[in-house]
Amino acid sequence: MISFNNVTFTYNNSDTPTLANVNIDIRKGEYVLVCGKSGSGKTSLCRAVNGLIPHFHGGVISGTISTGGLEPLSSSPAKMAMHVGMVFQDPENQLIASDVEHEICFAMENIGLPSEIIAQRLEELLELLNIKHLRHRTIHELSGGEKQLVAIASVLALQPDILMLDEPTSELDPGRVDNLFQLLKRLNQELGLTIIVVEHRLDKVIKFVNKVIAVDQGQILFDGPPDLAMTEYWEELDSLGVGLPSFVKLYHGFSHNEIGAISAPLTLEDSVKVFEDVFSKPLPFQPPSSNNNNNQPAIELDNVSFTYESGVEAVRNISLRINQKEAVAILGCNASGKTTLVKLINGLLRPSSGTIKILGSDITDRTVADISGSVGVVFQNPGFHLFSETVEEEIAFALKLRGATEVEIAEKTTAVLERFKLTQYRSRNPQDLSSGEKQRLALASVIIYEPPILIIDEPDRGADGKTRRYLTEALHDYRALGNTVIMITHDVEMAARTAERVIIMEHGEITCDGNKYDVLPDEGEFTPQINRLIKHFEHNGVSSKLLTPEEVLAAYYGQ
Amino acid sequence: MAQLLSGYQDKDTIVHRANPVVKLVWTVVIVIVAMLVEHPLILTLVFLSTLPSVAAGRLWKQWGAIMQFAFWMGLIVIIINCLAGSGGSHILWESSFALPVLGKIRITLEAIIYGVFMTVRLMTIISAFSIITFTIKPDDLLSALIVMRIPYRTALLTSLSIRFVPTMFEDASRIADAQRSRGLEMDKGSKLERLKNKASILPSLLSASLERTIQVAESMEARAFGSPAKRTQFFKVPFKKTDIVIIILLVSALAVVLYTFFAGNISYDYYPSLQNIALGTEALVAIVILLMILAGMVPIEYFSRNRAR
Repeated sequence: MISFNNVTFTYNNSDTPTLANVNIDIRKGEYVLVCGKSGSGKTSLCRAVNGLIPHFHGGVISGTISTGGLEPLSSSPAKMAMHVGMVFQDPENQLIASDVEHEICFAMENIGLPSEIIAQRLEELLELLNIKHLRHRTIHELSGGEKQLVAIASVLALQPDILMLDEPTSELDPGRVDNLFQLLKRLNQELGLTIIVVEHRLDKVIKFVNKVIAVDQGQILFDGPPDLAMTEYWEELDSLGVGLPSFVKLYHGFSHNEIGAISAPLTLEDSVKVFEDVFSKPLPFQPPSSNNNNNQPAIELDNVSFTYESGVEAVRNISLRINQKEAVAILGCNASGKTTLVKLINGLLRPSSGTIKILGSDITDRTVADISGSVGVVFQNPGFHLFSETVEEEIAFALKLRGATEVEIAEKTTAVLERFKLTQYRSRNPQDLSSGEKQRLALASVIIYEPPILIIDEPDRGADGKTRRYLTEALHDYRALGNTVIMITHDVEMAARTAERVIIMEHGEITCDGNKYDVLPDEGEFTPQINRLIKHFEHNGVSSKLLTPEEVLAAYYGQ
Repeated sequence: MAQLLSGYQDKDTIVHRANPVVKLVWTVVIVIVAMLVEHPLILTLVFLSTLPSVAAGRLWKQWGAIMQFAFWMGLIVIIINCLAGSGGSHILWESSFALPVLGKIRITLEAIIYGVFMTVRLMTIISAFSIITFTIKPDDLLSALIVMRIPYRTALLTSLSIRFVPTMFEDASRIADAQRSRGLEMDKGSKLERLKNKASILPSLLSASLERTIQVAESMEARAFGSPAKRTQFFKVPFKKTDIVIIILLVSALAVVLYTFFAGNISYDYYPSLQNIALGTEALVAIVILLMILAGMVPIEYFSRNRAR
């Protein structure tokens, strides 16, 4: 279906090739995962499949590409669009109409299909993707997940043989991620569509696909079936920072004579079988006691509610106290009120009722800029967090506003650049960095002025495994300096690793709040993978408080 | 503010539900008349004739915000006109000194009145445009422009730019939030300082918008935009009999006004001294017809809709 023969591609503004000597072969009906860290060439690979490279983006390309019998190098993207559908990363930027119906019909109108056929396909697509109820809705008002379904429908309208999705999970709740991949599986099986999914991480997708292609610095590092990838090549893939599934980590953590299975399990069902023996005897686990005995309040909310102008009640009557030096993760689905809560704490929004105190003082009469001295916030989309001309200015911004001397600014900036491994980019424009680098820069730009309370909003969004590990460490270090760290996230595994206390929000209310070992095991959607596995063996005396593979292994080998 | 300016909002009013082509023709007629005619009475009446639609469309809040902006623009127009305009016979004040280039500043009654009515003209045009921006869905605008024989690409560009207005306002407020959260003061200090600090979002907003534009273009390209095939117009603008009647009435009223205007019967001179605002019979008839039709759109739509129920 798709074959690349010695393809090398270089963007016009770059010296090094983005794709280097790429050879791949994808057969009809395959469900393919393309993974690799940010900036590795994954997206460029897709753009070459449908001819956006070089026709839209320019650049120099060599080698031959064949897609469904066509040659994207010589065919126009408009012609390729009939064979290859591409769903882009940011749903907001690929929906051009104001309502759902118009969006879905855009492509069909472009190729001049007769009206009767358009009408028929429109109905079929609304049915297929189960979005009939959205047909007259305004696109701007849809949720991220709904927008994505509309984007998928809008490219399927041309009935392509191949469907490509570039990082489709970055806007989705954990539950929705599974729904999406199941939907793709259904399209793959029912319509025989060849599906290519690009992801930073493979932990959530790998169980669905039947081929994995790992890209690193424009080269193909691995190309083969998922169980081979996870059994034989896991170390190479892990070093790319693509995020191994917890089951795979656990499998390789045990020594081989303890586990009979010859290949790593990819699903919960397989894992239950694979780990049956090792969990047949009791495995006690004593969660580490918190070493934080500081009772000074960092943040106090007293009956706080907030209602948006539109009438949406985003935060309902929340009372909450977070002490200094705590490490807290706030989990919740999209629209559960997490981000609104952050904005209330740093004053961007003011409560409709209730009071908020930061470090013991009421913030009602303080401006956002003033509060920022106590509360530093890293926002979820680094694209909006970063606004300066150069990386260096971005980092120095907050210090300059605080009247630091030139010498002080220069010293601290250099130190922070070094610490966040950004020195080589100091005079680059932040918008030109890869997403992992942007994430680091965003954190660096706040940490530099050392706010005693640090809030980081969804650092896992669009971050590859390496970046997430890096952020986890940086947050840990920052807390060790005596600061309070609060992380808002979708990512249960990261929460399990970084936080001590977990707060769960739902419909603007706090539904659960406590030590992570007490909260996470009972939280359904927010229960870590390993904990789900462990629960199958609770009757054997395996502690149901274990959350991560590292904890299981440490408990097992008695460390 | 962002909420007010965020363009189309779905509401179930007769103005929102009215045929987009009718609304476009209505706007074009108003804009042409407002651009040609200088007569103060007519300009005022044409401006007033846009108000029934604002009321029926429940647009006062959004419209008011835009008009406030138009009013301040108008004030600047009046001031510049007073300083630069040298005509007019009723001198209210004259400077004892002479400025380079401009010479002696002489403020005349005529210049002030002229400035005032140019503001009315500006507000009329803005009012008409804001009504269609607030009540026509970008998708329907696209279909309507195509019905009016505007080339597809131009029509799409128009509808896209309106579609992305709310997105841009969101971008702006997100960037401002990020800067405030790192300590840039936008809520305290002198007006000038705040304005200066707020302006610092512009470069980021520009680069965010450019990035967006490229991605939008890429996604269109990937959906066969620019295909050599003849484009299908799947979404038709549904026309009722009353729609056609209103369009014919609007166009005829415009024709009458144009005829009267070019025959020289609706002229008005502000300089050297203000003319009598009385209108000749022909002009009066033409204007009455026009106003009845412009302001009559709302009742016509109202009755035709109620009958259809």
